[in-house]
Amino acid sequence: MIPELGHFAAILGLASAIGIVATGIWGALHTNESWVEMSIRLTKLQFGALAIAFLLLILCFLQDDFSVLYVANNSNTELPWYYKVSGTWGAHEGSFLLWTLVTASWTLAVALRSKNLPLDLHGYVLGTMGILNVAFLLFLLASSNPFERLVPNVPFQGADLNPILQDPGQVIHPPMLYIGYIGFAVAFSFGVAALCTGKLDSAWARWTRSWVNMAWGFLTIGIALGSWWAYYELGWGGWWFWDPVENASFMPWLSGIALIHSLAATEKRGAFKNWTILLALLTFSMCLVGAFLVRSGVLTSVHAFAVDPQRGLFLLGILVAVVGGALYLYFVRASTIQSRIQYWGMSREILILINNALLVVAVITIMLGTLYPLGYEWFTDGEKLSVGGPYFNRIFLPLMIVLAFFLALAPISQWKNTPMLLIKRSSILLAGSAVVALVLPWILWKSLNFGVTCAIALALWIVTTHFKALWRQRKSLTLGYLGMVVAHVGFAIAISGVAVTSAFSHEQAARMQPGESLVLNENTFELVDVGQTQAPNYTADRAHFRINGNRNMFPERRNYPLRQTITTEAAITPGLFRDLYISLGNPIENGSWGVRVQEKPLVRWIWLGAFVMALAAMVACLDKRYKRLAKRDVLKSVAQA
Amino acid sequence: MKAVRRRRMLILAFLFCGGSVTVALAVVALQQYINHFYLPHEILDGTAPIDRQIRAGGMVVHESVVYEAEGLMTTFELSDLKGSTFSVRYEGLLPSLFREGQGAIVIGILNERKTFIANEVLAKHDENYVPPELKDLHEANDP
Amino acid sequence: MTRRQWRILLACPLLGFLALVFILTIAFDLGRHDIHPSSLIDKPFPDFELPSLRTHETVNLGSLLGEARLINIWASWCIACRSEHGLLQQIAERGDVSIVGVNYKDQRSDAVSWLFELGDPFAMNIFDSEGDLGVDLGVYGAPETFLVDAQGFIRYKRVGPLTDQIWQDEIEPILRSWD
Repeated sequence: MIPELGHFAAILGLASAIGIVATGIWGALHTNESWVEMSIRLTKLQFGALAIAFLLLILCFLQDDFSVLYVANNSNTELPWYYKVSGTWGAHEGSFLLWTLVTASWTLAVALRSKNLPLDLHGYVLGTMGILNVAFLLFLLASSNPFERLVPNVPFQGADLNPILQDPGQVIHPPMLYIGYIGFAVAFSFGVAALCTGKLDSAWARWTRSWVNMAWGFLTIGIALGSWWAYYELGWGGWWFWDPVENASFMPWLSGIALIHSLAATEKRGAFKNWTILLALLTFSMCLVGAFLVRSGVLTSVHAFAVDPQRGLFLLGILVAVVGGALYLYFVRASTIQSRIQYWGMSREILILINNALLVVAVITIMLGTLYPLGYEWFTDGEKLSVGGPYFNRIFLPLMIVLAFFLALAPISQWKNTPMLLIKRSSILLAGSAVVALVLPWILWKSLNFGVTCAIALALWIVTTHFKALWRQRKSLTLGYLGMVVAHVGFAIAISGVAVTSAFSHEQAARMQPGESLVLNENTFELVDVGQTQAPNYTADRAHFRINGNRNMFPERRNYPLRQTITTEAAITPGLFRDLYISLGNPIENGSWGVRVQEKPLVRWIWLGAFVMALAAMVACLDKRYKRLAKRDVLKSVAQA
Repeated sequence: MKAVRRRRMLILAFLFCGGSVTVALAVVALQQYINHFYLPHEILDGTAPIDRQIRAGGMVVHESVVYEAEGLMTTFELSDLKGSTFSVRYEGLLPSLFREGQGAIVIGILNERKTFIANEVLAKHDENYVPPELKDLHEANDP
Repeated sequence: MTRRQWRILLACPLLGFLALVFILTIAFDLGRHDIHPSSLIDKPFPDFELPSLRTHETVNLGSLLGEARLINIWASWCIACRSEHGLLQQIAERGDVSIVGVNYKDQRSDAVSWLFELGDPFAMNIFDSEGDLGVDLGVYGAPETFLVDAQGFIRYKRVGPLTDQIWQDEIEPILRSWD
């Protein structure tokens, strides 16, 4: 009964989504308040229905209802309750139900938080969000129904959740990512609405900014969690693999940064209006392309879902309809929108333009590397190749160094034109930072590296220019300005982490017997013994290591019998300045084991920097200015009417 | 106003050219960093180049995994189950899902004696997953 | 910039997107080609020598020849196999065709108790614990089903569970054409 109720709730969600589209767009076309009001009310219904559907699916998991195919394929009576709950979004069908629920949540948020919007804009935004969820829900119900029953012959036991997904990081990583992706749908809808109404003023940019910030913040957290999860769960000690699916989440992240900055110029200076709209459309389009890549089976990776050709075709249809439609609208309508242009020399506008150009080039090169193997296979009739991580590093890292250079100038720069004097003064700080960056790695890691010196010099320069600006602004500090400063400092933290970890990590793989020890960069790792442990759904070999005679670490090698899967559970001693990382490999012979130990300096800084950036993006949304100006904008639009 | 406009065009043109050059460089760089994939019979019949980084794959032959007496040097054989088999040497930890009778992908260099010196070994992720390159392993050698 | 140049510029994103869709479509098409390898169709069923599940005696290709066989790859750990099991039993009861099971990468005791619990529609069961026959057949995962004629040629292949619809629309017509 419960699965049928869930299925019905999802259908109700679809019905209300159709209602939102009809009433929203009708209300916008006729600037009729009661229709838009109706649309707002329907967003509540849509959210309620899909939330119930999702909760009912969780209930099916908690009750071990293996008559539901999806539950039988992804759960097991032995699974702890929290992994039963997270199993709900552990595979394609359930995670897509979550995806539609997230869409409904954002729609609800837009409906409730944007009462100040002009009526037609509000109607179009809700209508566009509604169209998206209609497409998603049709896809869910037609080809990925998570409530599908498996009758007759209900199994008495399920197939278990994929062991690498049985992990706290994996519990929150996908929801964060989805919230981020679909958050950009709000910006997309605002873009479409602006094209429909032909109104794109600084008020529009102001409304859009906080939504984009929120979405980007969540996406940042999602990506950072994914990277962190890969670091400790896959047992390699790597934190970014340039895997196609990772790239699919990274491209909208980069273009999201471009959008945030270009929106600032549009709000404050009325510049780049056409470009901003295009970015708003493209950022969400890239999220959809990513969803297609992950869920259609075009690419295979750790993250990809199971393959079903029908699904891929359906998703491709959604992609063509939504993105193609929006870009066609852009082609037809964008020429009606005019930008004001006045900028000189090293103005803030120019810096933003440079930022956007660098990010767009980064996105294009990543896309090239991701899609090249697909195209190549087609052109050569089946020859296969892959693009290695070195390609991405080679292209992407220099771009980020250049970006960091211009980023340091951000707080000094002024709209229209920046006095040369300020730039000259800050270059003294750069010189100081460079000297420190030459000495510091030598003191801390007894080694020098060109990339590390570049990264640390720029990071220090960014931090000093920003704190100096912050100090100067201390009397009239707004949350928006604070957000900008903190986000840029987060970026500096992250690039230091990336550079130092990549250059100064130590690693050694060895064959060890209990009693033996090995020395890696001043740390002694002694293998005390290897024992056995057991949990309800796996058995494990558990090694006991003693580090420098006092600290203990226990890497494991787990065997999940139901899926016939072995996973490496690395032991990590985390630290702000370095991680110790041990993974236990396979048993070799007469009691010896393959072991890999690593020391990774500053690896935590990568995720720390990401979280700082995400937090800053969200803090910036709370700026009172948005509220105050929103009120003024309403008064103005009322006066015009 | 005209000067402003010209200036703007100049800046845009500069950014556009810079971007295009970078993308063009990326395309050139791409050629250096691609790893072609080869099946066991291609390794043996000389299709696969020697002394260049490539990827190869096959099923790990039963009881072919041999550890050397010291250290982590491992030798094993990959086969297409149609009679073509080549041997792989690898120093390091094998991935946790590496098993005899299962598919594996190796990345590294082929030497003149047709021994594959791997610097990375990848194994499949779970029961339902077949590395995409190995999907048509069974068909590749059909007469 | 003239109006015309401006419009061409605005069309660029749309054109770029269409190019992307083109790449995605061909990629998708390639992926689909991999999933349904037709190369086994009209080829002889590969020879094998494996124990039978219950009796332990060795069976080979010769044991299958002489009549049309529906060869079903299954395992006790396979959830989707349960969903098609009822259909297989109906087919066996009606006597439409003789069904041969290939028990794929399984434990013997698990497989036997599974058949005991759910019923046994199979005329014969081949025990392929290492998946050797599965590899020769290009099996991606259980369940998969092959239709093999009396001379031992594969005439039909299905990846994934059978349904009534597939049975009626795709397999029964082939069987009828042989009668």
